[in-house]
This record gives sequence, structure tokens and C-alpha cells, in this order.
Amino acid sequence: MPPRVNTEKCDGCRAQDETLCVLICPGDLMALDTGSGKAYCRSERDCWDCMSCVKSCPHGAIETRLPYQLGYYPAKLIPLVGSNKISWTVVDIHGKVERFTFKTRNDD
Amino acid sequence: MPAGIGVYLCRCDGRINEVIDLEGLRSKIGKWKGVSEVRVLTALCRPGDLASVVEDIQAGRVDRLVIGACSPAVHQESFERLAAEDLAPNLLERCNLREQCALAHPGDPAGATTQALALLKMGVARLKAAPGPVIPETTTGNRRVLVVGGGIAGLAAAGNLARGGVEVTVVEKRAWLGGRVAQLHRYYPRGCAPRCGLAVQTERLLQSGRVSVHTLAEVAGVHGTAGNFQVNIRQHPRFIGQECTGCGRCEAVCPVVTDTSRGLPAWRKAVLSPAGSVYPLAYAIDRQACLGPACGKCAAVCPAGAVCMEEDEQSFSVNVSAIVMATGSALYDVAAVENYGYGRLPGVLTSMDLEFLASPDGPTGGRLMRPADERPARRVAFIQCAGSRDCKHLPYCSAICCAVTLKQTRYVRDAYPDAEVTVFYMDMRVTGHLEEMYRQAMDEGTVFIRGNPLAVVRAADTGDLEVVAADSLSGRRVLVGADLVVLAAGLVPEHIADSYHLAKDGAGFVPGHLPCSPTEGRRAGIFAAGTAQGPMDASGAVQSGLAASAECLALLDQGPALVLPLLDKTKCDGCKRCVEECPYGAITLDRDGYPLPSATGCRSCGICQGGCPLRCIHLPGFSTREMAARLAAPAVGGEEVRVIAFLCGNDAYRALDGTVYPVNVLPVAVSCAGAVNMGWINDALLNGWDGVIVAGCRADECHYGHGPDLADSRVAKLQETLRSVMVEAERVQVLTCGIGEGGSLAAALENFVRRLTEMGPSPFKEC
Amino acid sequence: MKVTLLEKAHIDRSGCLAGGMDAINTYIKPNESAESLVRWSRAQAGGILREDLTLSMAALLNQAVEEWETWGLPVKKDEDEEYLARGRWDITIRGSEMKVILAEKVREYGCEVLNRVVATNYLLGGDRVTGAMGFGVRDGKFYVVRAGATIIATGGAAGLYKPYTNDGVDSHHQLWYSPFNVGTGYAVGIRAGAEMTSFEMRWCAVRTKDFNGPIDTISVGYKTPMINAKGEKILSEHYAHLGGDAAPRYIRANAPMEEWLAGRGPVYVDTRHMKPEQVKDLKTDYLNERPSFVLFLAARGQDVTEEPIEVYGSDPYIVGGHTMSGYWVDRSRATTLPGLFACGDVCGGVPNKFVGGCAAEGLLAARGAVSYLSSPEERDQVDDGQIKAEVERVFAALLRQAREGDGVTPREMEERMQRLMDEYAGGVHQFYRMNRERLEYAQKHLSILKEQTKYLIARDLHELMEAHEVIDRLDVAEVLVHHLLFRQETRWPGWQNRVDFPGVDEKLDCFVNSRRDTGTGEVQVFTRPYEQIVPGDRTKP
Repeated sequence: MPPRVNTEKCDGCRAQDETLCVLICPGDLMALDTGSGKAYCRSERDCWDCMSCVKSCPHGAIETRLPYQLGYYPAKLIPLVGSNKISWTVVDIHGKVERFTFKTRNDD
Repeated sequence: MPAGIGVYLCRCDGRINEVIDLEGLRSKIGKWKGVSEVRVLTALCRPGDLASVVEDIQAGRVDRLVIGACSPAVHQESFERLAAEDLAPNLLERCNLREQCALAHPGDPAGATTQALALLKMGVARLKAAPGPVIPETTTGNRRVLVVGGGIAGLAAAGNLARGGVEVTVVEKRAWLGGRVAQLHRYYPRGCAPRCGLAVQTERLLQSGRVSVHTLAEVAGVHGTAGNFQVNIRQHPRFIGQECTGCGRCEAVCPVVTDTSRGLPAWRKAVLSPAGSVYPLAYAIDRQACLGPACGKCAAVCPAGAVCMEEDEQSFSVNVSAIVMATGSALYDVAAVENYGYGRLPGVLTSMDLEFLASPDGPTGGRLMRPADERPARRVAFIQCAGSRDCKHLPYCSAICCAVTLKQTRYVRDAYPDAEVTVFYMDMRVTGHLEEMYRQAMDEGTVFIRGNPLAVVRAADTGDLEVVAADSLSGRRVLVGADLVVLAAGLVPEHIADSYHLAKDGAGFVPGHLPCSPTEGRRAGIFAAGTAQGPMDASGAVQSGLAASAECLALLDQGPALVLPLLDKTKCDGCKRCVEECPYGAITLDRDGYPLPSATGCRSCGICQGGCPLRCIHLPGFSTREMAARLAAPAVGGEEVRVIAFLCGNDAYRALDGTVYPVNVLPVAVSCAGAVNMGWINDALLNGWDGVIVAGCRADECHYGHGPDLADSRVAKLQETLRSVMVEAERVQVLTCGIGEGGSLAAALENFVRRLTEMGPSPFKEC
Repeated sequence: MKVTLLEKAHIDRSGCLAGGMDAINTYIKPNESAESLVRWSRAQAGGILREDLTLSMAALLNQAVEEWETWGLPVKKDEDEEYLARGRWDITIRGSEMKVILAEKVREYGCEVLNRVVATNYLLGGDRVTGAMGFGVRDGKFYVVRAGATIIATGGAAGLYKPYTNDGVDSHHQLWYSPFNVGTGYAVGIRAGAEMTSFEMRWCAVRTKDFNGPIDTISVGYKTPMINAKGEKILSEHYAHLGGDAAPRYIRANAPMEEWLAGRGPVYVDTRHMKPEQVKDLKTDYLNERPSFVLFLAARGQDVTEEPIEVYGSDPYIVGGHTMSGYWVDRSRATTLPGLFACGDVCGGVPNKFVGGCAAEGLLAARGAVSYLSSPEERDQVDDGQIKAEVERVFAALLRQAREGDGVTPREMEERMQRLMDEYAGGVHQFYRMNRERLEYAQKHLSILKEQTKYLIARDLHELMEAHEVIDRLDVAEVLVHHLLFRQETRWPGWQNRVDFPGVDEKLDCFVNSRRDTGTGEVQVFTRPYEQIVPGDRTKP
């Protein structure tokens, strides 16, 4: 659930009024901290992990984690977003890596 | 048959076809969908062959063009003209089959041919995905310019523009034109009074009838971009109306005497006189110092009834095509150099203080004496580099202080021919003919001691000032008594608000991009002039003002035919990253909040394209679909290492021409390293390319300012993401390359391919 | 023609398809027909649905998907370039970006999109709907949109009931349905006196245990039977009389719960027979619909060929897509309020609609709305008092916080409501069981909660939105409990278990509808007769 923002990579979308993650979250859960100039999730318990924020971040600064109620630590699911393809890399808690690449859009 | 893509392969009189099997390529390419003509010609640069291409276009057989020939750096004009006249620039694709293919892989004709095929395939795929022709735009702005700052640089710029037929608005924050120069007693090289030169400049200005001057006015905000700036101006009240005849009675009766500097006692009144200025010849009231209507002495005595205490601040705006920032500079606050006692010891002055002292309008009516006790200044010590070339204060040299001091030794000699004048220096920097001033000072008996003084102290018994120094040439400690000690302090720029988005150096000056664009501050349409750019003397300031005016003129008349970025509004999210990252401030927002690039501001650098997270703003030829088609075109599966290299067209791409580099690398020319979008790199990796190179200029060499810095930070973040998805971050690299460094670039590519071979194929290849 | 779209989030990712979708489950293959769809869907829904609505939807199902494909949605094809059959009505898509593709077209066609505007009530001229009102959750402005015709498409209602993992840290919204779809569309209609149908036909789904994620697509796509802890194939073993593996959907929902209660749990879908390529496809499907489920498996180190995927019932949802709760409409999707059209999950009468059906209904409602467009004079009949009253109602919680600084937070009220519904109105902790006394208790306390909404406080705009979410949910919950009380039978065990009326009552072989009186606030519940168009036994496919 909780989207984790890597504050080293996040540049607050150049601190304009709305970062891309703030723009897109279907639950209005992302917000820009005007002090640090970085994005953060205002209510992690309300996240539905649709991963729209993760896909929208141009720097790949957001990662979705599962609540500990559901899954153990430290599995990862990270997308690499292309213009008409996407590749998801999954790393399970034993370190096993799987990759899934598929088309997301037909161009013609 | 409907028009399609024409592919023209050039033998280059044998240079190309002796390595690359052009005939073989022709038969393959002939079978590709969408290609309506493919021909091998002897020399495309010659009129005969070129004409046959034009004929194909005009006959309607071909509406998009692939030229497989020499490097785009060669014969640029002929092909560009072809594109401009018969096609559109975005429908021409040049494939570099000579310098970067045939000549780059000696001894490997098979490899070169394979690479040529891949390059042509990418070109054709890109053209197939291209939308229709994109015709470059030209615009003109209005013929109006704003000059901020009425000092000598601003006056020179404004005068030149006005004589050129331009409507000029001059905004000056003080009550009179003339700036710092008007406050000088004399200026070099002629040693004349500045009022004369200022009068000339100001007359040129006012005679044109095209200039409106606003003193006591400041810029409150600048919106828009080159060709269309909307500037809000705040007009402070003068409190003295236009009826003022400059008689001066108000000043005489004003009871208030205010401080103007730490070195001199208070001598100015709350009613300010024009003094050395020539325009307007009217007084003004410093309302902060003034006692207000309660006093009213000036109003009572004014014969013209010009005093008006109730004046309000006003605002107005102007719409201009260009702005000259001639906001000038001030002296460094040398009180910070505590050992020199400025502001603490009476008799320690700055060079500016000395100008006032020497002036008939100054605190002593022009007599050189120590104002506190009226002691005549028969012994004057000058300290050069006071707080300059000093890591604790100003690290840079302010260029003019040596000449200023030499000029000022004249003031002392003119007053007291036998005066003891000592100059403490680190280096005497008077270049060109100003060397004469140095020689003359030495001949007149001025003593030059090479040593930066430790301190200025006051002898307890005599009250004399003493300069404590070490003479580095003799090695001896020196103690020099003085009536006045003049500190030659350096220059710091007047603050220019960050909202102007001008590229400033560490000290806050706007030095421009030397040597190519000296007055350009990276905000399109705003040109810096005078000491706002850096320390310079009055002559330099006039020249830079004229230079800035010339830059403005270029913007006002026919603007260049530019290729503007295109925007896909169905994808744009309004995140405004392009607005922020544009080095020229050339993107504003339209009524609906979508980015609007300005034809007069844009330089087609493509940095907006590089940063857009949704890839919806791009230069023609670099849309998401076109780049995706390019990246998907060549066969990239299998064991062969395949690298795509995005090379900046200014330096890196040209540097690669004529080198020998691995055949696994497919170069793509881009406008700047900052124009490379990380999404392209994602697409490249997802399509199975083993590695990606982004090569551009060094950070301080980039024509567009911060392209390489952006490329570095974007790629660093992408590498972080790659690590988190268990892919080797080294698969994506940023390289820097100057135009003459092709050899190192080729070696770096060699190294890269070797590393990739060791790493094994890209993990995305199997998916 | 000017079209304005009011969206509480951002159209590129709002609603149920935020994560995407891996399949279209209502596509009519060449060997099927609209009539066979009716027969199948009818049987799945226990014999009751609006046949006329289903037929009109069926006519447009294929067109909607095919058009989406031309816009860029990838559809899996077979060697003949035909849509590859995943199941009887199902095709595989790669829908991770499908909403973005659709949103781009919306902008391209010149629709005025107002993102981040929360709709709060209809604009009414008499009983005619003449537009809508709402507030901006980012800009705090009050919006009034006047229109000749209005289409409500806000989806169904989740979060009326407490899901079973929400006691954990950060897992409050571990739902199958979008937790941001709170039933506002229903609520604004209820408040305006529109007729609703079948709220008691709740969608209680079999979902992956804990994660509460999709599973039907696996069962359909990979033929994974439901097994219990003993390894028995539950449906064929214990529910053969009801159709076994082809049993109606509510049986499939009920089955795992029955197994748990009987001590034969946990229950799984048996993925152990799947081949590696199938597992890869399965995960790719999930990555296109609910990507974090793949993370869930990874976070348990779970290899589904060794350890089958556990399933359990979900919290109940009120939707018009899987079941048929929603507005009572005619074939043109016109509701009982003139000027108002409904489509998608907010529109009732058509179960087994799914994404494809929602798209088809969108087309129907658009056509209906366009042909309805009223004259400008009628449109301008707006009562300013109505707007003023709504402004006060909308911003009340913010004002209360500013003036009193004390009250009830939306979060507190939401949690209270969810536990109330769960315990007394047949939530998942109660294995969906309810009886009259509990339902009446629920009714009583829902009234109190509705009364208490005047004490809601909001400290920022986001919390103001939460305040309205709980207000709207309460209106929906009230109507829901009325429906649950009215249907004194257990027609769909799993979706609606009346322990006090365990059998099926012939007299209730019809629609249960309701309307709230706009004057008194009283919810009137009544029936409407069934109308059969496609012949045959309605309980058999």
C-alpha cells in the first residue's frame, strides 16, 4: 500500500503546484511538501496500490510496498515504462528475480 | 502510385561503395513497405544527381527523403535547402554512411554494410511514423524595448535603439539618469567630467522622440517571453512636480542632513539635488529622511510651488519585444574587511567616497581634506584589492580599480602637487594605453609598494592613520602615515531577481555565454549590459550597451525561421516541467494552461523534449512514435551486442565523424544531451538494445547551458531505477566529448562494447 | 455540442480501471448471440435480470471493444488474427494503460474535462435534472454545471462494509473494488428521488485471501477448480446439484464461506497443475489489472505451482456491473428522473456487465442523452435557493471545524458505519448472514449516524471530500438495509443470506425497487414484475 517516495530522486516535479503523482492519484492521496519540495503520501492506509503514481514518476522515485499484514519484507515490484511497452521486475523475498515485458499500446 | 519514401544512396565517387555494398542494400530496401524509390547515385552533392532527387519530389513520386551519404556536417546547406524548398525539414533523414560507416570500419566491409542497413532501416522507420510536413515558423515582435537602468550602459543602448527607430522605455530606480558615472568627479581615459559625456548620451536619447524615461521607477514583474514581454512597473513618487526649475532653494532650507556612506559624514539633505546628472534637472525628496509636512520648509520656500507631499505610488505596464538589463553594480561593502577600519576609523574612505570628496557638490565643496577634522589630505594612501582577490571576500578581480586609483592620484596631485601619495598593490592591472596613467603617476612621485596591507590603524598619540604593510619586494615591514586612506574596493552587481531566470555567475553578474553570445543571459529576449555583466569601466559599459542594443535589433525585425517544439495536448498533463527547464525561458502557458513555446525565444535545443515525463512535447522528428519506430526498426535480438548512441549534434556527433569505432554502435544525432528523453532509453532497453550512450558537451561548454547537467541527473536516476530492477546500471552511460575529442569518444565506445560483451545480453532480450 | 465531464480524481486513472484490466468478459463470439448471453447471464444471476437492457447492451458490446482497439488497446489474437478466446465470453487484453488511451480520445474530441471536482448533488428544475453541483478538492471552488442532459457514470459503492484486513497498519483499503467509488452516484439519485433497483443483490465475491484481489479471471482463463483443505473439488463435490463448476456466481461466493464454517478450510483455486508458460501468462494478466498481486505472491515467496492461491469471500459491494444494483432505467438508459441517464456500474438491471458492458452502456446513455436534449428555456429554470443551500451543505464540515474546532472526523464515522454494517447487515465477518432484528438495529443506528453528519469536521479539502464520502455512503447504506429487509427470502445465498428466511419465495421472483421521498426522507420499497423476452428456464443457461 504505502507508496514510498525516494527523496533523493524526487525533485518535486520542479516544485510546480502539482507533481505528476499528485496529479494522477485516483484517491487524492499524494501531496507536495512545500517545505522540502518533495512528494509524499498523505494517508498510506488509503492507498489502493493501483501504482499510477509509480508509473507516472519520470525519475522512478516511487515504489509501492505491501502492508506487512499481507506480505513479508523485502519483496519488490518495479516497472520500467516505455512508450508502448512496459517491463515489470519482481524480486521475491528469497531474491528470485522475474521479468515480465508486454505491449501496452498499439501504435498504428 | 502514391508518394512514399525515397531512399538515395550515394557512392561518394567510390568512397562509400568501395566498402559498403550499396547495390545489395538497394535491392533489400526496394522491398520495404512504404519505400517508393531507391536509387544509387554517384555524388549527391553535385547538381546533376541532386537535380534527379528534386525531380522525383516534384513529380510526386517521393514525399519523404532518406539520404544515405556523407555526414550531416557536410553539405548541410544543399540538403537543407532541398528540404526547405521542396519538402519540409522534418521529412528529410540523413544517414551518415561515409564518416560514421564506410570510413569508420576499415577492414570490415560486411560489418559496415550491416550497420548501414540498420541505419537506413531506422531512418525509413522514423519517416514512416512521422506526421506530415512541419513548416518552420517566423514571427516578428513589436518594435519596443525596455531598458532597465539609466546608467551609461543603459543610455548607450537606449540611444542606439531609439536612433534605429525603436520605441524605448527607460526605467531608472534613482531620481536621475546617469547611474554610477554621474557620481564620479572625473573619468578616464580623458580625465574629463562625466557630465559632458552623459549629456551627449542623454541628448541622443531624447532627440529621437521615441524614448520615454521614468526615473524613480522599478520593474515589479516580467511575464511572457521574447517578442512579447509584459512588464509591470512601479513608479515611486518624486514629491516634487514638473514645475521644478532646479533653483535649489529647497535644498538650502532643508534642516535634515543624512548619511550616505560610512566613510563620509552626513552631508546630503532630505531634498536631493541632481548634482552630476543631466536629466531630469529637478529635485526629489527622500521621504524616508524627510520630516514630512510637519516641517514644510521646502514647500514654503519653493517659488514654483512644486513640492507635493501627498504623491502616491503608481503602477503601469509596458508590452515589449526585448529587455536590456543595465542595472549596474555597487561597491563591495568593504567594512567587512575589518582590519582596514572602514566605518570605524575617520579618514578611511572607499574610492567612491573620494569621488564625492573631490566633487564641488560634495561634503567639502571639492577640497581634499579629512571631513571629520578638516585636516588637509597631503598624505594619501591607496590600498588596492581591498576585499578583492580574497577568498574571504570577493574572489575575483574587479578589473578597474587600478585605473581608478591612478585616476584618483591625479585628484590629490591637482590639489597638493607635493602630496605624499602611496599605492599599496598586489599587481598593477592597467592594460593597453592606460599604461600611460601608471607611468605618469610614477613620474610624479607616487610611491608604489607591492604588498597587501595587514591593517590600517590609528596612532594613539597623533591620531594619524597608519597603514601597516610588508613590502614584498624589499622584504621589509612598512608603516606609512596618512591623512586619508582610500580603499579600492571591488564591484558587486545590483541584485537581479531570480524571477528573471537569467544565468548568473557565482557573484551574481550576468556574464553571458562567452565568446559566442556575450550579452545573452540565457533568458531569451533579455540582454545584460554594463556592469550588470561584470566589472568594467565606462568605455566598456558603453560598448556593451551598444552590443546589447544590436542583439535587440535582431529580435525586432524578421525573427529567424525556427523549428518550434510541437505539443500533443491530449497527452499533456500541465506539469510545467518544460517551462521550468527551458534554458531560455521561452515557454509560457497559454490560456488553457498548456505550454506555448515562443518563436522568438526558442533555440530548438530540445531540453523540453528531454524532460517531458509524458513525452508530449518534442522537436519535429523526435516524437514518441518516431523515436519508438527508430528504436524498434533494426533487428536487435541475438548474441550481437547492440548499442544505441544519442550524440549531441554540436560536438559529440561531429567528433565521431572520421574515427574508427565499433560497428555495434548505431549513432543518432540529437540537438543536445539534454534533449534525450529517459523514455527513449526505457524503450531502447525494452526493445532489447544492450546498452545506451548519451554523449554531449562538457557542462560549461554546452551552448544551451545546462543540457549536460540535466542529462547527468536524469541518467543517474535512471541508473538507480535500473539497479532496483536488477539490471546493470552501466548499460546506460553519459559521456562528454568536445568537438576535437573523437578519438577518446571512439575509445570509450570500444570500451563500452567490451564491457557489454562481458556482461552478457540485456535481460530484456529474452522477454 | 458541448460536453463537460466532472471527475473527482483524474480521468486518466480514476475508478476501477486505475491499475488496468487483463480481460474483457463480455464479448460476443461468432458462435454466440445476444440471446445466448441473456440466457447465460440470467442463470448466473439466479433467474432475475432486465432482459431488455441486457439485449440492448449486447448489441453494442463488440463495437465498443473494437473501437478501443483501434485507439491503441492491445487485444490478444490467435493465428487467424481473430480475438483469442479466453473463456466463453472472454478475451484477453493488455489493459494496463487502457484508461489513458481512452482519456486521450476524450480530450482529442474536445470534451471539457473538470478533473478533481467532486459531484455533490444534482441541479434540479422541478423533478428534472438540469445539471450538477460540486466542489473542487484542489481549488476549493464551488462548481455549478448546467446541462440539457446529464449522464451519471460514477460506478458502484465500496467501503460500506468493513473489509477483513482493515485492522492492520496501512491496509484499510485492501478491497477488490475501487475504494474511491463510494456510491456517490447512487446517493445523489436517492436524494433526488430517483428509483433504484436490486440493492439487496449485493456483490460478495470470491477473492484472493488477504489481498482481496481478482480471481475469477484465473478460474476462467486457466481452468483452476476451487478446492478445500482436503483437496476436494468443492463445486463438483458439494454443489453438483446447483451446477457444479458452472454453478451461478453466488454459489461460487458462498462456497468458500461454507467450507470455512464446516471446518474444511482453507479454500484455494488449484493452480498446481499450471505449466510455467501459464504461470507467466497469469502473472502478466495480473500485471495488467492489479499489479501488486504479483508483489503479494513475491512477498510470500509463493510458487503457485506448489502452493495454490487461497481464496475467501470479500466484503460486500453494491454494484451494477457484476450484480445489478443501481438506477432503474429504460432501454435508452433514461432513469426515472427526466434529463438523467445512467451507465456502467451505477446503472442497475444488468448483472455480468463487466468492463465491456459498461463501455456499451456508455454509448447507449450518450445516444439517449443526445436525443433527449431539452430546450434552453427548460434548462435555465434554476432555483438560486437550491444552489445556496447546496453551498452551505457542501462546506459545512470545513466551517464547523473553523467555528467550533470540535466534532466527528469522517474517518471515525466511516469506521463506525463499516463495523455497524459488517455486524448487523451481513458483512464478511458474519459470513454474509443477517436476520430481521439485526437489520432493524442497523437501520436504527444508520439513522443516528445520518443525524450525526452535521457534526462532521474537515480540516482540509481532502478531508472535506472524505466527509462527503461518508455522507453519501450512509445514504446508500440506508437504502440497502431497506432492500435487505424487504426481500424476505434467500434467493442468492452468498450475496444475501436471510437466516430467518432461508428458502426461496416464489412471490419475490421479481425486482425489488425503492424510492426515497424527497419531502419526508422515507424510503419506500416495492416490487416490479419480471418481464421475460428470451424464452426458456430462467435458472438454466
